[in-house]
Amino acid sequence: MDTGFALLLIAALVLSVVFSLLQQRTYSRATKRLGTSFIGAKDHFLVSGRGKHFLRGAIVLLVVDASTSRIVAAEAMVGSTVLARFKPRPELIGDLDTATLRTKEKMMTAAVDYATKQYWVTYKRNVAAAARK
Amino acid sequence: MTTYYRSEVTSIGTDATEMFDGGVVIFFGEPCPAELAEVSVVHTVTHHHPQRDPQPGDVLRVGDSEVTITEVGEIAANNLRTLGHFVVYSDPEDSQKILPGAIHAKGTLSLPDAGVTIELIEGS
Repeated sequence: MDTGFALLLIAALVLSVVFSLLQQRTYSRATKRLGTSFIGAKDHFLVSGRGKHFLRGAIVLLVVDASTSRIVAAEAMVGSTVLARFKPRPELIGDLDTATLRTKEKMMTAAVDYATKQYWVTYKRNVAAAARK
Repeated sequence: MTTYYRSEVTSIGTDATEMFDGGVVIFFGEPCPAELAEVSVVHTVTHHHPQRDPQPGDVLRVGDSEVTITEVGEIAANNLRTLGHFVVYSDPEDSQKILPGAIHAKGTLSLPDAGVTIELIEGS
């Protein structure tokens, strides 16, 4: 194999690992920021979902008030670069059931759909745990 | 100008710097679980007026830097009393709705060192 090509391939792999680590840190910090901003709020769940479209992707973070099944805070990170940041998505605030109808991009719809499913699984687990007590 | 809340910074999380750069500072009173301490300014309370809670117009001073509170989330005061916890969002966009545990402020805080004093001061 051409040495130059091999080096380029290795560099690309290393970069992709670095990028995903940086994105993971961005995700972790955003969940902690959002999560800590809701400490003390009863029956609120923080869920996330991911949607992919070719090389681009979207990750959403939703805070759902279980007493009303409403999204009370929503943020999303959209894009392919390492510079993508989580930004508020006020259009998603409202009924959880109809949240996917309020998205404009396919990958956002997929991400919100994923997060909604994660919410109901978490919610059921919580109900089951409460029933066992 | 009366100081109704005073505490002392005991540690700054390794990831708190990046939070600062993003205009967000998370405060937690001692004791604080390790995974939250990583992103937080951890402090120990020395004085809290039994009845006074943060209000818009009050000043939050951390060491030499200070910001003016513009909005207080609905459970932020209770969290401050019970956990020494609040999240400061510096100069948020006008469209950003305040989260229940958050405090919005005008101005930017600088990263403190351990031992620095945190004060909440009644607005004039």
